[in-house]
Amino acid sequence: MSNENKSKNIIMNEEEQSLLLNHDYDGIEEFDYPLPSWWVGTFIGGVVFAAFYILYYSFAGGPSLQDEYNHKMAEVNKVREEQSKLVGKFQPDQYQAWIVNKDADEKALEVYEENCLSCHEEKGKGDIGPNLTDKYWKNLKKADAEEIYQFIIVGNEDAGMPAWGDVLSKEELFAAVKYVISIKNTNVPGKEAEGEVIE
Amino acid sequence: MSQNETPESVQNEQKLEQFSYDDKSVKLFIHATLIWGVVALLLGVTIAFQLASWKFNFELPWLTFGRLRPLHTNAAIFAFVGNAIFAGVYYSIQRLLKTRLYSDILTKIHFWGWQLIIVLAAVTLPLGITTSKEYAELEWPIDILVAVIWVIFGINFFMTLKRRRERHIYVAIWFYIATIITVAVLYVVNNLEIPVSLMKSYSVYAGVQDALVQWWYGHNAVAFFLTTPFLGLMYYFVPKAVNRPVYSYRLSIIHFWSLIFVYIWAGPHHLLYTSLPEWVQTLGMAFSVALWAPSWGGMINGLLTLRGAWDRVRREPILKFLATGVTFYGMATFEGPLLSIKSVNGLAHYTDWIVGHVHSGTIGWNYMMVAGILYYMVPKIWKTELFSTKLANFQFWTATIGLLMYIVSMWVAGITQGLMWRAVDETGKLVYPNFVETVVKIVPMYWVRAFGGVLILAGFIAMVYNLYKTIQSAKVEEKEDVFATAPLSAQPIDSHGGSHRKLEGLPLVFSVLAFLAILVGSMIELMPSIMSNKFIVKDARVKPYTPLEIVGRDIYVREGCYTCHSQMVRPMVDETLRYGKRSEAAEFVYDRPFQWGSRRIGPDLHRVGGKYSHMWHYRHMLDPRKVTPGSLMPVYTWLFKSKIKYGSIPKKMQVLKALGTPYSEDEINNSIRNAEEQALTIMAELERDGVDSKMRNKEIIALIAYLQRLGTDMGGSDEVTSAE
Repeated sequence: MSNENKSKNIIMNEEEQSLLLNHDYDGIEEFDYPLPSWWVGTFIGGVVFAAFYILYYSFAGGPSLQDEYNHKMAEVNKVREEQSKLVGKFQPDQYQAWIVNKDADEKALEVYEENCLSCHEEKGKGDIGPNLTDKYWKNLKKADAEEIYQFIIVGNEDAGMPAWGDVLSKEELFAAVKYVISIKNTNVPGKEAEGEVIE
Repeated sequence: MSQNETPESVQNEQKLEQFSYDDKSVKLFIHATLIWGVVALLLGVTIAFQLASWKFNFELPWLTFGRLRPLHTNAAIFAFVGNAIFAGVYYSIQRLLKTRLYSDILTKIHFWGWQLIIVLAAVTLPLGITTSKEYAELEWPIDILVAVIWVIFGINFFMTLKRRRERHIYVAIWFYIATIITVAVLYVVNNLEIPVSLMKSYSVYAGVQDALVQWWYGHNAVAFFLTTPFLGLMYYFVPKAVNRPVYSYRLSIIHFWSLIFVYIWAGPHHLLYTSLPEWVQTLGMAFSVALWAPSWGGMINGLLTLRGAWDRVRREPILKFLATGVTFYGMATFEGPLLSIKSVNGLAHYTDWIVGHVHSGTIGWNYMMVAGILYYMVPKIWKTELFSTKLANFQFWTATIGLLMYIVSMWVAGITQGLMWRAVDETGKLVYPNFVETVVKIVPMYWVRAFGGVLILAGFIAMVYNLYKTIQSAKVEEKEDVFATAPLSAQPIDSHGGSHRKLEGLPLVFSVLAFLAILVGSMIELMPSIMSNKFIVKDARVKPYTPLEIVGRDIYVREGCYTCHSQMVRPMVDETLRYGKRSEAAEFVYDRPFQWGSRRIGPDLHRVGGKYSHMWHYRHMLDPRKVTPGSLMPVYTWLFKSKIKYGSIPKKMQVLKALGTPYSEDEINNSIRNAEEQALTIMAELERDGVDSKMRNKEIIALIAYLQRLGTDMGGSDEVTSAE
């Protein structure tokens, strides 16, 4: 091992020879090539960017993330308010028209399985959420389409029922209502009855 | 060995000093690198499969993702890379300084102490003994051991430096100095904690402060454990292997000082869009962008040193690995600043893009460099020839292809999921309101990543075999080679060089300056948060956790829930729609340690309190797929068997009180009764849903108590409004 590094480093040409420093560490020598100009540009660019960025956002009143968020949130809230006016009001004729279209049954099951199944279980027999197939209702005073529709929109967060109006579109809400009505009084054995008898 | 051939030494020939190298210790560290490398990669592959299919969690507490993921990161960083650093540093400093390591005994203590730490980590982390601070999960007794062993390493290193026979210190040594000093500072400051018992402690920092200190540490662990020591190793092994002079000395100087000065500021880029005060976020982003050029300075010096030898890079495995390592370093240090730009980070944070980015560093840079260095060192140090170049080439290609599969699959997964999370339709609703939809979508990418990992592991095993065959072929030699050179006193400081050249002759001054360089950014970013109470505006609505919630929170920490769930609703429209009101700094003042997390494999949990019924959580922990079909979450059956340890509560509350949580003596004295009562309240509701009353003293109840409390003090989860 003692001799192998005695061989000098490979120097390719005279330019390199002139740039070689008088440094030798365990046989490692060093050139002193000038800094690549594009690298210097990147370096200065990075520092200048950082300086201006900090100045603008921390001292010159550039918009904060909170400002940007408030702005975007206000826009979305406006859209959502308009939507909730549209969706929030149950229109029986629209609902009646929707449930007779040929895909309605399929869509009803799909919406139920994607959103409701995890708590109300297969066929609505109940588990985390109440049994939907008996004649007892916990949160409703009347078991008609409009009542169910309005309840699904606002939910009952204390009891663990989310406000689905934030998530589901009007059509999906129709689908959920249709499914719930379709399983009503099918009396699938499952979770014990909760609430009062509502006809 | 190139002996000193300067005129002075020729004149002082009669005064030559004899010395030998402690290569036995280097050999030990090489063995440890190989063994722990296999372990770390095997763990990585295991957890990769656990994300592809939850079944790989095997329903065993100590094999779940939440406990193995910290073990994987610790094993990869501290066991595998750590031992490789020690091997490379000890090998190179002896040769660069022309002296033997300061103390054979200290070197031995260093070696065995470090292996003991790794074994302790391998035992405690799967048992759920963790502080939950990423890459700093080890509990306080092991932290102390780490600090002691690191200091021993430091003493051994600096005393070796003192006894050098080379006046000026080479650029590799500069990077080693920065590493040793900074890692010590980072580790100690981040791990300040008050013990509750032998294996449990609470962080002295809470909430936002804890997050800031943690990511100052976490980011700089990457900087000063995975980057600076490897730049030092690069500066030794690349020119040695290619037998060419280093490209540019002045570039070395500029990129060294700018790198260590700038790096330390960049930590807050891990906390963009969080509740961290915005001026700190702005600093973090700005310095991260400015870090691009200093990082690339190292890459340029590495790659241009190889200039004129590219034909050999194609042929020789050592150069192949080193050149690829430096190239991936360049890629990762370009991607890093890119990901630090706030808007890019808004998309990428909490997704797999970050995971891919980390691995282009750890596999692309660290693993490749380690392989190149080992292929260089092993034949040299054992005085033999490499067993098989073919096998080395096999490893190169499996590692490269495996890594590309890893990076590309994580880009696709990360960007896909990030875009799905934020998709809002024209009616102002989330397009993918069910989080699990965004998970199911990327599972195929998890399989690609896992098989990429298998390739990387296979390549590594090939190297282990190759190197052991190489070592077997070596002759057993007990006698150490003896060298001779002029003493330090015979070598004056180079008076023709510039002022930096003079500084290189004064390692102590150099070290102090390096320390100051990393101190500036640390002080400016951390001090306001640690010193000033005004930093976080308190809110009277935020109350300390109840005794039962403390127990539940500790279970949350123990199970490593933070490895998959964040607790930080960012100020973004989609997050407000999905999770609720944005998280505020004031909400975390009693969180020791903070649980903001860094990846959302599951949804954010900061506003989960009150969102579901107790029964939902009960079912979900027992079988996540029962309530969320397609979920990747492991089952937590043991929470339904182990009992709540009520006896530990008063001590925990006393420690929290000592740290500033306003518990009264009465509250502490009555804590056990209070906890039992709260458990009964939760139980009453569960019983109504059909759960057996004998579950009342099981851990699941405490966990439910904690989850239901989360984010409720200032939550208002029912309203979708902007904060303020």
